[in-house]
Amino acid sequence: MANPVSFDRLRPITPPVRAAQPQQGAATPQGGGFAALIRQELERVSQMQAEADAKVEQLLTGQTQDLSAVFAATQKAQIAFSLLMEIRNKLIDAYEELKNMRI
Amino acid sequence: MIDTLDITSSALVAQRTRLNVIAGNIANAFTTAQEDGTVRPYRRRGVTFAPGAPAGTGPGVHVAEIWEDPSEFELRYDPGHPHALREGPWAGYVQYPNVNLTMEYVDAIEAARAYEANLALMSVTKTMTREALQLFA
Amino acid sequence: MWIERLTGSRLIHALELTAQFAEQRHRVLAENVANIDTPDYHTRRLDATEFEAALRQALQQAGRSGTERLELRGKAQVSTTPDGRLVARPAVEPAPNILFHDGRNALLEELMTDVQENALRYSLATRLLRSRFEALLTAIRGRLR
Repeated sequence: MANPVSFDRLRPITPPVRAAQPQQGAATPQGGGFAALIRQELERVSQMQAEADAKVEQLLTGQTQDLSAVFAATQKAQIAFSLLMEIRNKLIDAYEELKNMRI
Repeated sequence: MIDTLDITSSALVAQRTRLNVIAGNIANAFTTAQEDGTVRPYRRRGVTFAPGAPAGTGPGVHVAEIWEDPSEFELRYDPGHPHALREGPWAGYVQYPNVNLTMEYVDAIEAARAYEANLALMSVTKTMTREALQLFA
Repeated sequence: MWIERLTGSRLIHALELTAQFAEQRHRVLAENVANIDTPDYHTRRLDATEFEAALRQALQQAGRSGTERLELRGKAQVSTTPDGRLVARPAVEPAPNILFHDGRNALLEELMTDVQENALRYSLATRLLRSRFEALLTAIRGRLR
């Protein structure tokens, strides 16, 4: 009997079920990949902030006169952070929506 | 930042006083008699600045003294002049104030320049104060 | 990890010290300009280069020892109190440094240029401080609006 719907395609949505199983530590490729991605982006933003801080310090100690470079660095860090914040908010909203879904 | 305003305003007052004295010199450059009719010419006046706000209330500047210039009067031969000297070795001469107009003009320009500089500085002080207040907003 | 980056209190302290320095230098400059025509008055000065060098050393020191509070030391004109506030001691400009006939040694053009440059320093410090605090608030609130 042929299955009209292939249940293989449903696999990506099943991680919560799999988490109940003994091998809980080994997350699914998709779930682990996404978490690692977020962590990676956090590190990036943190790094950009550190670079901007270093540039400002250089300005305050007279090591550089380049105002525009400092401005560019601080703005980049600011935007990266804002972007990350928006992604976080959207993720939370999406999760809320999923949570309230009636299956 | 507020006491910086006080410093600058003391300078504005001092330079303004100096300008007033200079203006008086210029106005009376040819005054050959006193108000009450005494035949004695106007004597040039000057100011001396000293550091410190007036009444010792802090830093700044103030007018320490307004003095009269002891240098000699100018003499011009003009026997027909109502204020000409009647007797003595200088009979027939008129005594004119010891004011040099060119010097007074240069002095006035200097005083005005100092006044403008202090005014510009006060403007910067106000900008800085506003920026400081924006940290609270 | 990244929260410390955001609070970056070492940089905030550096910004505070810079603002305090610029404010005190402005006061010294105002006094010099006020006395531009005062006979025998010698200008007092707060050296910006000395402050910058002191700040640089303090930042390096704090980086090495892992502290967040900066300590200015080893300079004649600037230092910090135990609770981190700037103390500035202006020096009197030496007498032979270009004397006018009445004993003054000030050039108005130089002073006014210094005033503008110093105002820029102050403006920079306060603006960066403000944007820092706003960034912190944004992170805390969690929403950009």
